[in-house]
Amino acid sequence: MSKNVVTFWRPCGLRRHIFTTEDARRELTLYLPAARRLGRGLTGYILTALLLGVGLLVSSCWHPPFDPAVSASARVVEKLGNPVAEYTLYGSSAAATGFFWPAKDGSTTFSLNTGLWVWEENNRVRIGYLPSLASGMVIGNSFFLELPLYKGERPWLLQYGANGMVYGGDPQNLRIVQAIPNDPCNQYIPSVDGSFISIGFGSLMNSTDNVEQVYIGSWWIDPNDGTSYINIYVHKAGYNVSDTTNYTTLKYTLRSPPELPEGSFWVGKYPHDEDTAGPVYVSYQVRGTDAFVTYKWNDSGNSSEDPYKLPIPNRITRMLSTGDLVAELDTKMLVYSPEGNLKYVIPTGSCRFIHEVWVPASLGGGGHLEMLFSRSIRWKLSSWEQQQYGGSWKYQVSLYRIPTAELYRLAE
Amino acid sequence: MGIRIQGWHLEKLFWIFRRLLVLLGCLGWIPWVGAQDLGSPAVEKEASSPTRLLLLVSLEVDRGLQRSDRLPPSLWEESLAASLVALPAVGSVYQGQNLQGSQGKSLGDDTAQAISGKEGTGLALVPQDMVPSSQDQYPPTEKENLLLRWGAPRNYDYLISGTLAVASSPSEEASLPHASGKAPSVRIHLYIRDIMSLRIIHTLEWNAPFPSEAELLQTFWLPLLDAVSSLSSTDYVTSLTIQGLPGTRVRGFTEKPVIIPEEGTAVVQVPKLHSFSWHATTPGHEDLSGSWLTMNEEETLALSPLPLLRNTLEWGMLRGQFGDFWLGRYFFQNRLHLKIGAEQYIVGFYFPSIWQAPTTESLTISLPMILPGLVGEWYFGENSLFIRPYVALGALLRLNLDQVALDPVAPLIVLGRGGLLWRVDRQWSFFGELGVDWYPLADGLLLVASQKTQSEGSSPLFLYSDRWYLDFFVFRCGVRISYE
Repeated sequence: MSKNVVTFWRPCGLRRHIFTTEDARRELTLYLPAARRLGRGLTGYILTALLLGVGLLVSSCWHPPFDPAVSASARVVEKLGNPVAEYTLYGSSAAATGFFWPAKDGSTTFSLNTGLWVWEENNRVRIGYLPSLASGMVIGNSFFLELPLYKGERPWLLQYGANGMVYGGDPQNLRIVQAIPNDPCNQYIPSVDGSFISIGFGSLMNSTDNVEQVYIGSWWIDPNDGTSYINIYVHKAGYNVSDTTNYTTLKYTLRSPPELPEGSFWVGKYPHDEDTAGPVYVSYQVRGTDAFVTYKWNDSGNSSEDPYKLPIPNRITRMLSTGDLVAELDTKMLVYSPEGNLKYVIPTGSCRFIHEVWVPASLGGGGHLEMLFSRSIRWKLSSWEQQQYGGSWKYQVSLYRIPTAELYRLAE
Repeated sequence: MGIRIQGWHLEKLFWIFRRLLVLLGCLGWIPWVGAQDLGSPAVEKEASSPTRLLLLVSLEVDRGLQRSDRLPPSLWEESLAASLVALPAVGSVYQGQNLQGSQGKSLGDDTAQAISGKEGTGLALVPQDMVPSSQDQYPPTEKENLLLRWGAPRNYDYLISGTLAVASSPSEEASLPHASGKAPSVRIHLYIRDIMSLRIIHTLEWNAPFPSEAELLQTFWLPLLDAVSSLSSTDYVTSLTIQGLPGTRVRGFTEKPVIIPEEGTAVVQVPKLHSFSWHATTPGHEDLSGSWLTMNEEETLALSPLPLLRNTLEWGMLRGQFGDFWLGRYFFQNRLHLKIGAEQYIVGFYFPSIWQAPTTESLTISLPMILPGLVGEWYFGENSLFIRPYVALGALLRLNLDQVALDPVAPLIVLGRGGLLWRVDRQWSFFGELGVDWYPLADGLLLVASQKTQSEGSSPLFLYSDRWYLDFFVFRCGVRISYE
């Protein structure tokens, strides 16, 4: 700085229209000590309460980028390999939890583009029919059957027939419903009186005639002596379920387990042929508790045999063609041996096990059974996308198959 | 969602800018905000030569001379300043009339208030016992007081002030020099006052013919210039003793930091009647800082810093929703903070429908994931500041409790954040931070789907590809407890 400049230098504090260092100093003098005093006056408890309050105030609708179901499906999909079919669909918000259930008709015919759209809404499972699926389709929220969830128990479901016929077990009203899209429903309701306890559902593929065998169990108690027993009815899928004379017939009578069920129960038999004696299983939630039990009879033809409890802490929902028992939880599938020992834990989540299908030798690999999985991932659409596609959600539906004999690979 | 700036007026932006400046000033990031920085002449003096004089001039020009149209009224003082500044011994000269302003409004009054806080309340920086009292000393006038208060903290040496009047009898005053045609003489009465002691060093009085403009700039002030040439720079020194722990570095008193030796005492010579903004840094202890005004020949500054609290417990809330817990330790004079702990999604607040119709949905959310990790934070500013900004970099593992394994969709988060730590007292601190979470090795599309309410289209809240996902505006606040 030259001398002359210094001579005529003017203090910057006089330029009042600019925020100057003097202003900064004055404001610091005024505000900072006040803030310090405020802080010193607060105790640790008040600080904690303040933090909680601020936390609540600023809490937002942010959802962590983590969904256990999506993560589980990502792990299993890596092992399932490439999908055998894939569709991009658009749907309404009502179908936000929906997934695609491909249809099968007997053990030799299965479809990858016809089936059911199943979702949960208003504490009910609703089932719609998709006769011919293709990418870009908008799936509505129309349904031809709905079944209630009862005390957390999902209704039992079986699809059988190219026409979309469904058997549904109603855990609340203790009945089994046979429904066909656009047709009147048939239903089987046991003759309910004071001795009726519960109803059970299950299905197995009969390898001798390629027809799905629907097993219906009814649990009774004799009011005179207090003894209880379970009647097992067998119904050939595709016929009128309410016809108890020709198609839904009593097959076995078994001594019941000591604990009564809370709602309905699952029933299973092995081998598939109902005329061949073999083990029978029931699995249910014990009345008044949160515990699940599974019982087994070794001989379906022995009405005097007492069942014994298997070491399975979950409710069994399926039986595989291998005789293994399957428990389906929200994010994983547990596979137990016929004696109830845990064999595999398979993460599934958004990738659901639908059913087993028979892949004939003409499709390669020799004739063998395969398990079919259906995965459904969804994204919400932006407002302009909703106008463009006509739905609130976008779904990516992927179908996978794995030979039942290779199921162990998914657990590795 | 976008940031809406519609409706933001310029005043509001200016207000924010001002607050930012205040904050930066508080954090010591504006080097020109300091007690020493009252004007550049002092800096000039230290930078060039400490022996060169810094002078203030102030002349009272008689109305008879002012009414003369031969010379502009301001030229008297300007010529004096120009003549003085031409002397080799003079570093710079400041004209008193610059403080008076030229627009009719007295800006000097504002300055007086800025310096002393209240107009006309005496000297701002000079003790009362230094006011001269002998017979040949005169107390400064109000205008001189103003200049003295302005010049003292800026290290000016001398004030040259006085009067210029027409050297003729009062009866002739009415006849203007140009009207009478005579060349009236000018009576000059000047005295040179030491700014620090307020004592009058020299009194000069002489008569001279009414000068032309050239004479005014060349010969008119020669008697004064002779007297000024004999002056030397004032040199008032305080011997400041700084007591503290060995190794303490004290900045602000001298050009280079003072480092306290093993014996625990350092002595430095600093200008007297000078204000300093000092800062002391002791290894393992909290910084100390303050302002110091040297008033006496010998003074002592005793430093007793408190030991730093190095260990920390931290409880935070990710986005105000999910609590987390961390154990940490400070390093490098509490500049680096390393912490180990975990975020979690097991318990959290969740209000997805808060803006919609009343809902019966739970206000909490539980997802089976904890995110253990390691985070390093680097703090700016001194460790004693009550607000310290910091940047954080860390990594979190996404442990999926459902599968008892790293999450297959996104196993890792690399986080980068910036924040402010508000130190309420030695132990308790609040903090708030904002940043980004980067998910490498991640399936971005599945992460978008996992958020349930997000569309896969572009969003201002995140970016993604099939290999990574980047989450913006990650907010976290919490409280930290420090202990030894």
